[in-house]
This record gives sequence, C-alpha cells and structure tokens, in this order.
Amino acid sequence: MKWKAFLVIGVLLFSVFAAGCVSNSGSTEKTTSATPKEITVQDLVGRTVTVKVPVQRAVILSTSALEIAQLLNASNQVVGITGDAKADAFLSPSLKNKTVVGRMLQVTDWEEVLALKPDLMVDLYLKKFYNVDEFLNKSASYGIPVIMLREDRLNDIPKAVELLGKVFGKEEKASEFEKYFNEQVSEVKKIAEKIPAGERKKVVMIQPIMGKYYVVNGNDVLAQAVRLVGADYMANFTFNGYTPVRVPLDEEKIITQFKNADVVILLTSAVTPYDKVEALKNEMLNDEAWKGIKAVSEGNVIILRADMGRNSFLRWSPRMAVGIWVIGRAIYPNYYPNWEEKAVEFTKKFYPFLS
Amino acid sequence: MRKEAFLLLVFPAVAVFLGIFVGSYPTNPFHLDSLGKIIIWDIRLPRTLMGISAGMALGLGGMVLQAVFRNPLVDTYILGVSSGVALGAAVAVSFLPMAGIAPLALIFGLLAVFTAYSLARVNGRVSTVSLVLAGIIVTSLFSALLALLELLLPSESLSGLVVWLMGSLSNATWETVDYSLPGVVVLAVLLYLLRFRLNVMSLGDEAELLGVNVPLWRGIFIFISALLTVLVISFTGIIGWVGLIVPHTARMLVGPEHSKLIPATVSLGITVMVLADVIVRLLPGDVPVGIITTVVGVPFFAYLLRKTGGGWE
Repeated sequence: MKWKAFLVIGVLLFSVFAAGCVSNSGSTEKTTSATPKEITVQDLVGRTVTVKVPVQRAVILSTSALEIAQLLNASNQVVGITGDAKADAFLSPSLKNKTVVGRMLQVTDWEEVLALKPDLMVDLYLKKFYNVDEFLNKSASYGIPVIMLREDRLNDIPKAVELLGKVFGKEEKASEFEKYFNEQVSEVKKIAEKIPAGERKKVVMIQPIMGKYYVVNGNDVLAQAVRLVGADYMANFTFNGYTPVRVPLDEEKIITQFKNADVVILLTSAVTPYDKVEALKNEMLNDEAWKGIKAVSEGNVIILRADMGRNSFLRWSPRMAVGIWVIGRAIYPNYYPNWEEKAVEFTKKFYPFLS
Repeated sequence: MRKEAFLLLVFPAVAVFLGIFVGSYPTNPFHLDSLGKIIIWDIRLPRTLMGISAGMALGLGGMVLQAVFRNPLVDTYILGVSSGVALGAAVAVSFLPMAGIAPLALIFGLLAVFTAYSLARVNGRVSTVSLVLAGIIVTSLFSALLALLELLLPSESLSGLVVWLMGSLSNATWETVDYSLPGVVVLAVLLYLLRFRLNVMSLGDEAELLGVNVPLWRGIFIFISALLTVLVISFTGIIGWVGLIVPHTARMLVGPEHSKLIPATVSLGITVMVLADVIVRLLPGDVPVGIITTVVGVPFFAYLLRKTGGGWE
C-alpha cells in the first residue's frame, strides 16, 4: 500500500514540476549575466522610474522602442512584443518571434505578461490612443516598472536611445548613435543655413488612407524635419487646444488652404502602398482642381515612404537619422546629396542584419 | 396642400444651390474665378449629386421597409446591410486592397440581406418578426467577423476603416456618381410605378385578402430597399438615421399614401443629405457626414419613440 502512496506523491510532484516548466516555456530567454543594480531614471514624460539594471526581461509595446532595443544590441533582453511588430521591416526575425502580449501599444493578455516575469515595460505616452493611466496602475499593481517614451520631437529620438541604453546596460552603443544622430542634424542644419531666404519653400505633406486625405500637422516630427532642412511647413491646426498630428481634410479644403504650396509631399502608410499613392499623384497632376495648388500645377508633387517597409525612413525612430536627408533631398535636390548612401551607412552601422 | 408641394420643391432646390456655392473656397455665384468654376465642377457638383443619391436612396429604402413592416421605427440597416458593407470594406482593406472598397462592400451588403432573408423564410413565408430577428443574427455574425478582422489590421488602416465607416460625401467623384445615381433614380421611378402595390402592402397580411402575393412582394420590396442602400453606402460609408427620420417626417407632412409620400421622401431626403454635407464643409477638418445625420437623427428618433411608443399610428 505504501509504495502506491509514494507513487501517487511522486506523480503529483512530477506534475507540479512539469506544469511549472510548461508555464515558463514561453519565457526561457538568454539573458546577459551582468550583476543587477537599482537605478532611478526620468522617462521621457518626466516620470521617475526605479529599475534594476541591466534590464534582462523587457516587454516592449511600441515598435519604435523595439527598433531602439535592436539598435542597442539588446534584442535578447526583450521577452514580449505586440502583434504590429511583425510588420516592421527594421526588426529582425528573432525579435519578431518573441511572445506577443498585445497590439498597438496595448496589453491584451496580462496573464502572458505575468508569465514572462518582465523586469521592465516600455510604451508610448499616447493618451488619445489608449488608457495610459489604467496601464500604469495595472503594471504598478504587479510591481513592474514602466518607462514611457513620447514621439513628439526629433530630439526625443536620441533621448530615448540614451534612456534605453542606460536601462539595458548599453550606454556605449547609445552614445555612438547619439553622436551619429547629432552629426546628421548638424550637417543638415549647415546646409539649411546656406539656403537663401528667397529660395525657402512652402511645404505640405499629405498621407492618403482609405480614400481620405490626412494632412501632417505642424507638430508632427516630419513637419519638424521639414523646418530643419530649411523649408516652411504650412499646416498648423489646433482644435480647442488640442493639436493632432494628422488632420483629415477634404480636397477643397486642401486646395484652399495650401494653394501657395511650393512642394506637396505624398506619404505612403502601413495601409497605403506606393502604387496607390502614385495613382493619387498622377490623378492630382492631371486634375484641374488639384492644379489650383501651385506645387501641383508646377509638377512638384513628391512621394516619400512613411510605411513600415525596408526603404521607409520617415517614422519616429532611429531611422529618422536618414529621414531628415530624405526630406532635405526631396525639397531641395540642388542642396542635399542623395540619401541612399546615408541609408547604407546607417543600416551598416546600426541595423547590420538589413545590409 | 399646394403650399406643402411648393415647399417640397423649394427645400431641395435651396439645398442644392447651397451645395454648389458653399464651401471653403470662396465662390460668389455672380463673380466666379477660374479655380472656383473648376472646384464647383470637379468637387462640389459630384459631392452634391452623391448627396442627392444618398438622400433619395436612404429615404426611400427606409420608407419601403416602414410600409412593408408597418412600423415607423425601422430602416434598411435592420436587415444587416450596414454590417455587411462594413465587413466588405474590412475584407477589401485586409486581403484585397487592389479590388477597392466599393465593389466588396456592395457584394457583402447584398449578401447580408440575402442571408437574413433566407434565414427568415420559413415554409415559404417571411414574417416581420422573423425578418427582424434574422437581421439581428446576421448583424451580430458580420459584426463579430468585422471585429476579428480589425484585430489583424495595423493602426493606420484600423483608424482609416473607422473613419470610412462613419460615412462621408467628400470622396465623391463623377465616377462614383455614375455608379450610384442612375441606379437610385431607376429604383425610385420603379417604386413610384409600384406605389399602389406599396399602399396595399402597408395593410400587412390583410393585403392577401385583396389577392396580393404578400411573401413575393415583401421579398421584392426588401430587395429594392437593400439595393438602394448598398448603391450609396458602398461608396460613402455608413450614413445613419436618414432612412428613419426622412420617411417619417414626410409621412407627417403628406400622409401615408405613397403617390405623395414617395416624392415627399425624395424631396426631404435630398434636402437633409445635401444640407448635412454643407454643414460638414463649414466645419474644420473633414467631419464624416454620418456624424451630423446621427447627431440630428438621435433626438428625433427619441422623440418618435416617445410619441409613437414604437408602433404604427
């Protein structure tokens, strides 16, 4: 009888052990072996965050932050991502294969998050997009520190890289990028200063999505890049104190408000492929109403990539180091060099698996 | 009666005038510059004509179903047509971007109505209650499939789909007008020719005593109503409440007899849709016209519900 009891206990113990293994199966990741220490940092929205560094098990909910983690060679310190990361051509297959815990900046499976035992979560502070307070309260209740990034300004990019470099223990790579990014900005500024006042161009950017026209607003990082390269950005909309980054406008409003534009830039998006934007460009160039805009009548309509693809550099992320050159070349082809060389240099340096 | 007839002519005429001459670009009818003329021809005229098409189609679609169901609180969306169109649009965005939104929206809209009608048809008969319940089933199923597809969409396409579904006339071109307006006009004329049949159908099952094949004609009118709706919302997105408020208001003005009700519904439908679009043009940004019709329609619906208790007076 006794041996039967031992057998039952043995089976039970084995089951508990096996269950433990199964529940942790998604979270077995290689981690760096540095000794952890606790530091306090300020995230990009001014919150004070105490975190054990180097972070070994981060759940990152924003694709731009994932691009930063990859740039820092910290991919193996990431354990959880969101589903939209799969579409980001700048992310390596190994990073895309991490456990998916949510979609578009949001956690949809907290159980999965807890199973991953993260020591940090990273997200964007976008209150219009999801319930930031609820997310922060929930993660705090589970004792997971959260770093919030924001995509408001161009100079937030090196700041974000510096911050994540600090928590991932990759300060050296972070400062290499910061130096590179700042060099690009200074070079662009130098060129911009050479552009005579009489040659400053008025620019507007339009992103067509499902037949609607979304004008890039003046507060968007792309509009900041337009000003950086020495042009004037025309759209500046505020509605009851709120300044969106994209403003839907109909054709007549676009023609009326931007009829003096020297350059119209059409942007692709995750849902609008290049050929669809090209079709719109051709339609504009052959349409008498669109020709009410100076840029269209003069043929100055340019298509630039702002999707998740390989040759797209116009998204808030380290790739904007090339993006500013893309915009400069598009607006002032006589002042700015071809950006392709910059793109090759950038990917070789920071995303070698792409080159 | 003459005064009402005069007003029913004047209202849409004024709305169309405003539709042509009001917008963000200054267009003085007595002093038009060349760009103003182009804007009127290329942008405002297609938009206004699409408004005319939408007002006629949605108003008449609602009117027909209200007569067939003998209930003033129904419109074509009760048959699941809007969820069908929404799912068609999402399928187009997710899997067949080159096919375009409108064709798939149209196919799925009609598929939804056909499914609801088939589900409701028991022993060759379609009762009002079974059709409404079948509409709810189809709406739930298509909405669930839509939600599933939305999970797969990237953020830009999801927000784009949400905005598209709110309904707008700002995408109107001569091409979309060519696809929509002639069909709507033909169906409107057909309905006018069938006005006596509609009068009889509004008697309900008693129509059978007059020798009318009620199940057959109910099916025909439901199909016409659905076709009217998809001919518009496949191009514009979903514009709510017009099919509810327009026929009811028309009925209050001219009574339930369809020889008067059909022209009155057409007149008010055009007026409401074109004026709602004029309001949109005067607002900042590109506000979906569906928001304006809903903002106006919801209080009106609440008023109707209080007044009629949900039944036929």
